[in-house]
Amino acid sequence: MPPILYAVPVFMALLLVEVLASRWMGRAVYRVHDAVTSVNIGFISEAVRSLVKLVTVIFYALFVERVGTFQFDTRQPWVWVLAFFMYDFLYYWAHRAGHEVRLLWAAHVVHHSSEDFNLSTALRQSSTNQLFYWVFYVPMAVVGIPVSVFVTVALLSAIYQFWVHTQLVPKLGWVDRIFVTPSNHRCHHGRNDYCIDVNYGATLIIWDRIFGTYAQERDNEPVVYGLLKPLRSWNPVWANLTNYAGIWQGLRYTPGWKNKLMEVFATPAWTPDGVPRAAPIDISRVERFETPTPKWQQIYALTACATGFVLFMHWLSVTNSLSVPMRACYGALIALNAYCLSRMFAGRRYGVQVEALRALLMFGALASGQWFCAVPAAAQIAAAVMGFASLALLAKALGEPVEPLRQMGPA
Amino acid sequence: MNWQALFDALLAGVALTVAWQAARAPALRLACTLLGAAAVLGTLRFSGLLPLPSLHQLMSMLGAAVALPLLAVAVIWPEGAVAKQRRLAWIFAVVSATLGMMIVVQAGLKPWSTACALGAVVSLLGMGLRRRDWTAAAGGACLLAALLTFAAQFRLVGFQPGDFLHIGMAAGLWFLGRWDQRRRLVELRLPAAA
Repeated sequence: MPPILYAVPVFMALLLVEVLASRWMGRAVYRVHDAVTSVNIGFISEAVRSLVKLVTVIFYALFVERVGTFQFDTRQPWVWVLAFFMYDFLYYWAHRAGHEVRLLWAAHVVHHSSEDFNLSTALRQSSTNQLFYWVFYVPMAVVGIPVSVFVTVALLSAIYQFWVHTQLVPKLGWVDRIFVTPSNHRCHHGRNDYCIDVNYGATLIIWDRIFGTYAQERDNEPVVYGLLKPLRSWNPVWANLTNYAGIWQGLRYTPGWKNKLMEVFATPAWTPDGVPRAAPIDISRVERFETPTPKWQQIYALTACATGFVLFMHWLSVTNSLSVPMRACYGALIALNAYCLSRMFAGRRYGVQVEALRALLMFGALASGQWFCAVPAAAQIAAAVMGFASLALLAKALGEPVEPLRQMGPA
Repeated sequence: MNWQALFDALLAGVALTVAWQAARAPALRLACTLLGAAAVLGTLRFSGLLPLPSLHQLMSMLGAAVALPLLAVAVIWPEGAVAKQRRLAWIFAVVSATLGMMIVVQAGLKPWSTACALGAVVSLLGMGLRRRDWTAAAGGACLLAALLTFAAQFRLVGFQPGDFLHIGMAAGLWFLGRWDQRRRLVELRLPAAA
């Protein structure tokens, strides 16, 4: 069983705990559209990762086999300690490159595209990261750190990074100066001047202190989350592709091969000669992207997200028994689920109708047992009930007037 | 200490010295550091002190597929962004290393690194001759001779093909180190002349 199958329910449970805790503390750290988009992006990312068979791990295994220098006994504790430090160090550089090189930023930007900061942001991961980031871990393979140790250390690091995406944990004193903590990571996700390109560490913040990229959260200047060039969309597919599209446009229209190379490898702030840089933003006047969120849509979004979660878990559990095309189709269905929902969130033309069609087809297929594998009777009944409930909610929505796009003030 | 280890140590010494001195040429420094690291591993391997053959082979491959092209870029376009900016020199190295590892280690196409190395030193030599920059041309010629004797598996009174490779590369890097020093001297004199 893939470890992610156990991790995802725990992450979702912790997310619910954070929602309840934030309500109890009277802090509005969640918005339905943003959180649902984050979770959906996470599902798509994991689906893609599974489809391309964990590129990082496969490349890593091949390198260990072909150029691994030393043989390590995995029963020795020092091997794990060495692997932990190596992984954390290399993660720092991978993450730093992810922020400082356009092509890598295009892959990583999706994680920073949320204008909220909560545990759902931790799930908002890129679908294309794995195409590039394996390169940074090659030194571990060259040394000969076994695949099992690498995978375990990477998994523990990923799990550790989940909890730092929260606003509910305050500064932690000396811990903030050694480990990556929520305070450090809040700073990393900010678009304030002092938050740009800082705190890249995964578990230890000491690498940032050594290499000069450490910044402390300021009490007198609250962090404003998001990007300098905001995404302004709920579309999970576009969130993954937006910066690639920007690079592609740059490659097409920027004159000279040097400029074209810079479009791919320069810092994200780079502009060709003669093109002015984007004006600095006034943090006090930043407005978060928001679209109307009527009550019915909140209920629908949460149920659709829950359905997406069930589908995703099912997909994970059966994925190894499906052929690659079937697996891809199932993964695409999960992505389509998220995409249709985002169209409705954005109040796009025919957004509700398209979502209704999607719900009708998906729940209809499930209820009739025409799925990628055998569907138990109880699941068929549940799908039928969910289908009716979804369509009833959407039918109610069709009768409501459409509100124009609006924006919310600073958090 | 045998001849192989000795000549690898010579190459390591020259490469790391050039890297040390090329403070204002990040691409040259990075290329020479890579070649120096490969030579240090070779010294350890052939002297029997720390035999890590797979690591030496990998670093040698990176030397051919990454360091020599980077060296050529640094010498052919000394005012270019890659030659002068550490960040871009690193990006060049990481991208070409990724390409090299994919092609040589994963796909098993070993001629890739040879082609990269040959292409780089021929360009270096060609540029030196065209610009009548005899130091750079001598560097390119030594590197080309080193690669050709190694490819031809040339042997002479107890010396292995690898020995000629290391001697030739050490000579080539020494010339390129001189070339870099002369450039810096010219740069230092320019403001006074103006």
